[in-house]
Amino acid sequence: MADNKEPLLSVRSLAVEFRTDKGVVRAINDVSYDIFPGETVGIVGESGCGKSVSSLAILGLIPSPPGKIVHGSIKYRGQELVGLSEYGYRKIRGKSISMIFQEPMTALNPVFRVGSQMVDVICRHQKLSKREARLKAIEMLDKVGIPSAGKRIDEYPHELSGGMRQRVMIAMALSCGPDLLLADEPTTALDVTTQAQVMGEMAKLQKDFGMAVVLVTHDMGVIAETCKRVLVMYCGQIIESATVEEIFRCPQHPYTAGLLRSIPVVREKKLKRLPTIEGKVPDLLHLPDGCLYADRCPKVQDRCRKEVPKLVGETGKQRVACFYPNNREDLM
Amino acid sequence: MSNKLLEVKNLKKYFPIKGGLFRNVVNHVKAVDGVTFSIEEGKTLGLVGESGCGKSTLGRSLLRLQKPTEGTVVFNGKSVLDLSHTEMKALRRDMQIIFQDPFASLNPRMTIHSILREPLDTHRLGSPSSRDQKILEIMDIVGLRKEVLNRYPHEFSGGQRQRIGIARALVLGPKFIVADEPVSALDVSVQSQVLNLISDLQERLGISFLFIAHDLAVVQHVSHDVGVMYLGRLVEKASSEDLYKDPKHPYTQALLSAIPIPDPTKKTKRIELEGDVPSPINPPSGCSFHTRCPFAKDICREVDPAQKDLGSNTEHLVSCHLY
Amino acid sequence: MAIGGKKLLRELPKRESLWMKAFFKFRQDKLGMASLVIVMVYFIIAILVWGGLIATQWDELLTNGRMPPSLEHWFGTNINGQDIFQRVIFSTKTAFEVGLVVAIISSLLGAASGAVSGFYSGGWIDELFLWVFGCLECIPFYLFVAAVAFALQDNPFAMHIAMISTFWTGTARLVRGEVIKLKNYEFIEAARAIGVPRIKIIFRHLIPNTTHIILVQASLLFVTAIKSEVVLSFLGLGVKNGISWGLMISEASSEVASGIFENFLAASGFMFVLVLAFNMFSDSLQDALDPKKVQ
Repeated sequence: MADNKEPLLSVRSLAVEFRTDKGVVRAINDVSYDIFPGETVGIVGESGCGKSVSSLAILGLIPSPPGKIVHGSIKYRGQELVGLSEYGYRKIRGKSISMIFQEPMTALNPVFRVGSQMVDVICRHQKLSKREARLKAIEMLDKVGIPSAGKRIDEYPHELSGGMRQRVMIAMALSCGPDLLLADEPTTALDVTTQAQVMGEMAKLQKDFGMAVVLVTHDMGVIAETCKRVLVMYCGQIIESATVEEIFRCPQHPYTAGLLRSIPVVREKKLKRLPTIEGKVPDLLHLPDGCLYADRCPKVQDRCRKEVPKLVGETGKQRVACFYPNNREDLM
Repeated sequence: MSNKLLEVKNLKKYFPIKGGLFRNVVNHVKAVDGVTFSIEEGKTLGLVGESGCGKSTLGRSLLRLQKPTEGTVVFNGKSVLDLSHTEMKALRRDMQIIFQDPFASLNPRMTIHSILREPLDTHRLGSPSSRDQKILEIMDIVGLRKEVLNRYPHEFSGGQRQRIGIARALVLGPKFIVADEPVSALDVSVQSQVLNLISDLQERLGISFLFIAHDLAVVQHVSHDVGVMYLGRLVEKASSEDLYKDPKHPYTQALLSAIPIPDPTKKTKRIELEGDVPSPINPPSGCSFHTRCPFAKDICREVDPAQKDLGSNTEHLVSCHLY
Repeated sequence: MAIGGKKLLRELPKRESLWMKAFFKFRQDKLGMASLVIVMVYFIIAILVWGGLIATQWDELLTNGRMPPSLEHWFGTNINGQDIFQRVIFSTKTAFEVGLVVAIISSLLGAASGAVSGFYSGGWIDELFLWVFGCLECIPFYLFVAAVAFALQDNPFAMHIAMISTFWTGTARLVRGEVIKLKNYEFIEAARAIGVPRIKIIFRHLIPNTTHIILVQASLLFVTAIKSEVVLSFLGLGVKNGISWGLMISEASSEVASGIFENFLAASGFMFVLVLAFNMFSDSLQDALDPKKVQ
């Protein structure tokens, strides 16, 4: 379909800061990556790593009094997004780049029927009459797997279950056929069985629409099932970037390895003690010198505490920000 | 050895729905609809189910934080639901609870010291100076430094707050703790720390747990037995080994297959369930799972399946017409 | 290792409570700090008056009838020959007295009743309180005050009592609403699971978590009390012994007709500045105490 050599979205040296009562916090520091048409890229990390902030930054949704993009560029099809006016962003949101969020209950307006919210979005970007927009909305609801879409379109958000609401949000996000979908923990608030259904539907839709997806999540299982490439973030930096097979087969960064080991999974035999990562995430207000993972790293050396490792490696291959990465060692 | 610490029989909790002009009771939300199980001393029962299955309500009913509509709860030979207010207060020393939300489970205006002191002061255990001693002991067990005492909850991370919540539950020396999704709100790397802590508490202090979770992967390693709930009923219960190796109820099988596996080379043979969970206000007739069950037969629509024990040497209870 | 009690706590470094966090936040709000300074100036004046240190001659007839402003009498004297400036200063004490008494007692009453009502929401206690709130709120304020003032005849606190008996319901409703919300939080369930008696839950766990609401409401009541006093004094139902801005404005009504403004301007000017400063302080206080922003 599209030329695979040109990235759809290109992020370079992005940095976002937040002013808090206690000082300035760098939520993202020097983040760079590309998204190519039609691919699914996962951004994984724990709370405070900056993964959500990175998606919000793309669409200019960072709440502006405390937060600000202080450095870097985000180019969508060659057009610079950083510094766009609100008007400029609005032309892109929904039409070219869409976003779905974690909590469907708070993302949908509870006093409006589902249908009117969808029609609102469709009419904003496409020159359709209300009637045509409504038909389009019903078609979309049907595509995301909502039964009796013609009837449910007139319901209020609280009348739908969590899974349904999430599907409505997906339908709304896709109704104008965007090239890129940013999904911020879309299934975290759902039950496991519903999550399985919704993920299946999203995969089908992605194929139908040929769009790229950036999936932000903390769930490595979801990443394994849906993504082609993975970026691992820690304390606002990308510390590893690889294909999904590479990451699971041979995680080079000790954090990635530790994360994979400590996920609770159903195992063959019960374990006496589960593997963990000791310590906790450093306070973003008082970041240590050197590698941010040094305090928790089982392989830490002197150099790690003095210098900050940069992401090294060729584009398109597995890249890692570590002075002593794992090599060819198996998981466990 | 086979000492039943807790025996629950036919526990029901219905929430009335008021409607109409005169606010009459129109219908009920059948949150817990007839649950029977028991837990032995020093053992942990993992209880898994999805949202709306009533597991949290069940946990709270055991401690009388909710008043059950029907059924009996016998703890250490005493019928919990029949105790007077004073007797219940004394029993609270033996039965405690840990909550899911580390942010809402600690009073933001109290120091950690006050939070941990309160249970001891309420029950007037020991002399005032020995109470602080007890607090330090417990903090040592859960891995908190004593510098923590003068601080306030908002100064701590989710994982640490959860440890404080656990310390609060331990300070009275309970025999039984209801753990209501204690790790669901925590980061993945912190979850295993807290799970290990709970395993330690089982071993060192011999505490029984009812470990409530929505994720079968989380309970596997801390539980001796695991039960699965659907729409207020216990559909399967077996020892931890048996349930994961040989899940018998179709819902358990679907739950297990739905968990995404963190390994891109392993393709799951996923059992897709139709539709969404029905509302607990009007649960389906017969077996409540028949609307989504891939194996539903005619009898499933009409008759509620009885609980059968299919286990050979250990108990393996299933409520399903397939057996 | 037998450490215990106060000794244990003294050893550890003191960390910041939510109050301190709020205080630091407030310090950064320049407008809030400026208005606080103004309020403190007024407060100090009121204390000095109360201590009998200044404005002692507010009641004395110092001149023969009305005099324009001069070096001796900065705002001149009123029709009786009393020094306007001293009267305006003395009125500051009256204002604070009314404001503080009404604000504090209304807040205490309102907090306690609102908390109990909210805790038992849906039950008969709650219904009873709501009925009481509703009844009191139905009565037109000035009529009620007139009735109370008449009933209490010459009681110097008639006005205060009248105000308190209508103001407390506002705080009560706010606290009730917050308690209903807080009641379902897990730390309250935890307290019940421990066996903490209900009274303690209300006063130790629930009310302290509503203090941000109570404080802000109290500051609004302070200002409302002062403003209401003006109207009441104008109607002759206000302060009996002493002088207040309201009484001064009331006295000045006849003077203004003849084009003499000092009395009126002095009183309303002082009042205006205090009310404005206090309102702004109250806004900044609300921002600083907002638990959503304090994180």
